[in-house]
Amino acid sequence: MAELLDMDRLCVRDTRHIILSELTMHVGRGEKVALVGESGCGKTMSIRTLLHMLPDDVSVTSGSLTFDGTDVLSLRSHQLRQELYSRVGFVAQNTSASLHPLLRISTQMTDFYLERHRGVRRSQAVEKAAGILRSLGMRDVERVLSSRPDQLSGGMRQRINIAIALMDDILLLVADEPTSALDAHVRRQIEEVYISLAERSCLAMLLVSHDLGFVRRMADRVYVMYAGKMVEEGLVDEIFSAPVHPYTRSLIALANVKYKNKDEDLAQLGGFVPVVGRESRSCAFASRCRYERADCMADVEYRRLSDTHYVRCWR
Amino acid sequence: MKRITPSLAAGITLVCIVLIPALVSLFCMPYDPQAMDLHSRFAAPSAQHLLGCDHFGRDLLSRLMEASRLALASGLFSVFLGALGGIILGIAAALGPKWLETMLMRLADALMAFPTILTALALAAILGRGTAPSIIAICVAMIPTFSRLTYSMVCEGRASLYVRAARSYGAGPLRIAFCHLLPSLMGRLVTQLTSSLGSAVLLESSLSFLGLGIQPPSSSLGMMLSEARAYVLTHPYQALPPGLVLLVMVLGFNLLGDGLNDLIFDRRRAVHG
Amino acid sequence: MSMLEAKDISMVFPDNGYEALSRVSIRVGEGESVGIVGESGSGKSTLASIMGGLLRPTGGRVLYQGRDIAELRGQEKKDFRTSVQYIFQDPKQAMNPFYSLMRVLEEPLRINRKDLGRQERRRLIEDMVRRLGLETDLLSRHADEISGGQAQRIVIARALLLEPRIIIADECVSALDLSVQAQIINILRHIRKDTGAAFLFISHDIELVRYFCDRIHVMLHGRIVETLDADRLREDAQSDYTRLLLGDTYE
Repeated sequence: MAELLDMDRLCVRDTRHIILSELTMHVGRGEKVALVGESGCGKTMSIRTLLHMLPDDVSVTSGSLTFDGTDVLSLRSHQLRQELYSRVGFVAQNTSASLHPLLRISTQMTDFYLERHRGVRRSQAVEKAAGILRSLGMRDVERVLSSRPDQLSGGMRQRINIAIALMDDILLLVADEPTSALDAHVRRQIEEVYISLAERSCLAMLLVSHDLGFVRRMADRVYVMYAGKMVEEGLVDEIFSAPVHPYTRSLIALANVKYKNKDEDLAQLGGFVPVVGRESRSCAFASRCRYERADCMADVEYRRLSDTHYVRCWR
Repeated sequence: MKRITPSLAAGITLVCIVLIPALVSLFCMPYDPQAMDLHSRFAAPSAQHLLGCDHFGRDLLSRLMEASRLALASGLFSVFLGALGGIILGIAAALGPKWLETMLMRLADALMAFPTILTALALAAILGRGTAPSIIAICVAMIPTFSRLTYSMVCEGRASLYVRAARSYGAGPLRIAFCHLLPSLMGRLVTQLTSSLGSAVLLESSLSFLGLGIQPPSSSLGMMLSEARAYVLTHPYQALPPGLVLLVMVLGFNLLGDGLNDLIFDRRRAVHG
Repeated sequence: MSMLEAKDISMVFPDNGYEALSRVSIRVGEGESVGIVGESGSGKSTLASIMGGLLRPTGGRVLYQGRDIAELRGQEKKDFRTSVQYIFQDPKQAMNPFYSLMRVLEEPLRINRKDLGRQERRRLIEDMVRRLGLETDLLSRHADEISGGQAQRIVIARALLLEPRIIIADECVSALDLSVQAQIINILRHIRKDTGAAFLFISHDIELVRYFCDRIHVMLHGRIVETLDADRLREDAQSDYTRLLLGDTYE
C-alpha cells in the first residue's frame, strides 16, 4: 500500500517570490509526522497547499501531491468537500478566529458534517459530536454544546476545534502550531489531548510546530524546513540525538535555552530567514551558519545518511 | 504586483464609452442639440442623423452627448460635495466628544430615512426648479453613506495597534485622523465614491424624469426618457438610446468601484506564514 | 522618588462591566527593571496601557516623577510621551501598513524633535537601525515585507530614537521564533546597560522575567498576588499560583 500523503518536488510561488522549492514529504498511514522550522520558512504554506487553501495570488508551479490515492492538486471545489475534507481534519493556528462568534457549538460542530452526509439527522450528528467531545476528556458536554464560543475558555475552544476535525472518520489530522499562544496550564491539557489521540494508531498526524518539546513527545518522524526547502528529515531519535544540519542543531540548542546566568547574554542564532532567492541551489542557511565555506554556494544536494535520515548539507 | 481584474477592465471600458462622447460634446457636436427642425420630426436613423431625431426634430445623438455630459458633471459635483461633507462629519463623530457622536450619527439616520425625491421636491419648492436644488438633494442623499462609512472605519482603525503606537509617541488626534486613518480609508472611500457616482447619475435621471432636475431646453437622460415615453407606442426606439446610456453609465461605475476595491486592497494582503 | 508609579489602579470596562484591574499598585524606579507575570486575562496588558497613559483608569492615579499624568499639560505632557515608550507584542501590527519603514521611524522624530532637519533625522535613524543590526536598505520596505524579528527591531528603534527613560515591553518576544526571541532579549539587555533606561517588562514566561528583571509582580485576575525579588524567586515564593507558574518551567 502506498503512503497516505505523498508530496513530491512541490514548487509554490506568489507573484513576486518562490515560497516552496521542490518540497518532498511523505506521511505513512497512522504515522505521526512533525514539520518544524521558523516562521517564514514555508511550513504554513505547505499545509495550505495540501488543504487547497492557498491565497489567491499563490499558485503551485510544479510537483505532485497525492493523498490516499487522490491527486489533490486537480480537485475541484465540490470534489474537495467529498474527497479531501472528509478524510483530512485541520486544526488552525488561531483557534478563536476559526469559530463563529455567534453560533452555538452544537451548530458549528455539525454543519459541515451534515453538508457532507445528506440524510443524517441533526440530532444524530449532535449525538456524535457529544461522543467525540467526551472522548477528548471533556466533562459537562451538554452545556458546552449549547454554549457560544465566548462563554468557553481558550482550552475548551481548542478542544472544540480538534473535535470538529474529528467529526468525519479522518485518516490524517493536520494541526498548525497546536500548542503555541496558549497559557502554560492550557498547553499541558492540549498536549494531553494530542497524546491520547496519538494512541489511536489508525490516525496519521501532520503537526506543524516550533515547540520542539511537544514534537519530541509526539512525532515518529521529523522534517526540518528552512527558507522553503527541506534541510533535514529523520526519525525523531535521529533528529534529536544526532542532528546533522547546523540549522537543526541551532533549533534544538535554542529550545534548551535556560535563563540561568543573569550576567550573560542568551545564546542566539543571528540573522533572519531570507525571503527572496529561494530558487538558488546554494544553501540558504549559509549566511547564518558557523561552518560556512565555499561549497555552500554550490549545488547542495539532499544527502542520504540512512534509510530514514536525509540532510541538505555537506557536513 | 497589481492585477487588472476583469471587472476593473469592464468598468473602465464602459465608463470610457460614455465619458468620451461626453467630453467630445464640449468641443463639437453633430448638431446644435437645441436646434429644432420640424421637417425631421421622428426621423429614423440615417447618415445625417445617426440616431435619428426626436419629436421636435432635434438630433438625438447631439442631445444624448449633451445629456451624458450634464449627468456626469452633476453626478461628480454632488458626489464630491456629499463625500466631503460625509467624511468630515464621520471623522468628527468618531473622534469628537460623545454628545457630538450621538447627534451626528442620529442626524445621519434621519437623513437616510428621508426620501431623496421628497428632499428634491421641497428644495424645488423653496429654490425653484433647476439644477442646483437637484444637486443639493442628491448631495444630501450621499452624506449619510459617507459619514457612516468613515465613522465605522475610523472607529475600527482607532483600535488598531499602529494607532495606539502613534498615540504612545505623542501623535495628536488630527495627525492620527489625517496621516494614519484617512490614507487607510482611501481605498474604501474611492470605491464608495465610484459606486456612488452610479447611484447619483441614476438619482439625477429620476429627478429630471419627474421634471425636477435639469430644465429644458438643456437635455438630460431622464428628461429624454420621459419625453420618449409619450411616443413609446408610435416610435418605441426613441427611448432606447438614453436608456442604454444610463445603463452603461451605472453599470460602468459600479464595476469600476468593484475593480478599484480589489486593486487597492492588494496592499493589505495577509503576510505569508 | 520613583519614575513611574501606579497607585491603587482599578479598571472596569464600561461596555461590559468587566473588572480588569482591582487596586493595583506598582513602582518603577530610575533604571530599574520591573517584571509583571501573569497568564492571559490577568490584566497585565491593561495595566501597561494605563501606565503609559494610553488608557484612562476608572480608579486610582498614575504618577510620572511624582505628578499625576492626567494633569500633565504642554511641555510636561510631551516629556512624558517621549520618556515612556512602548514595545508591542505584534510588531508588524504596530506599524502603519501604508508607510515605508523610514517613514515609520521618522514620524516620532517629526512630532517630538522639531529642531532636527530632514538630513539629521535620517542620519539618526540610519545610525540607530545599524546599531540594532539591520541593513539601512531595509528602510524602503513596508511592514509586510520584513520578518517578525526585523519588525521588532524597527519597533525598538522607533522607541529608542526618542531616548526614553522607561520602556514598557508588553509580551515583546512571545510572538517571535525562538532564535529571534534570544536576539531581541539580548538587544534589550544591551539597551539597559548602555542607556540606563528603566523597564516595565511584561510576559507570561516567569523564567524569562526572572532573567530580565530585578523585581517581579505576579498577577492573577486583575490583582497582584505577590511581589518578589527576582534573585530569590524560588526561595521566597509563597502563593500557590506563583509556585504553579514556576512548576511549569520545571517539567
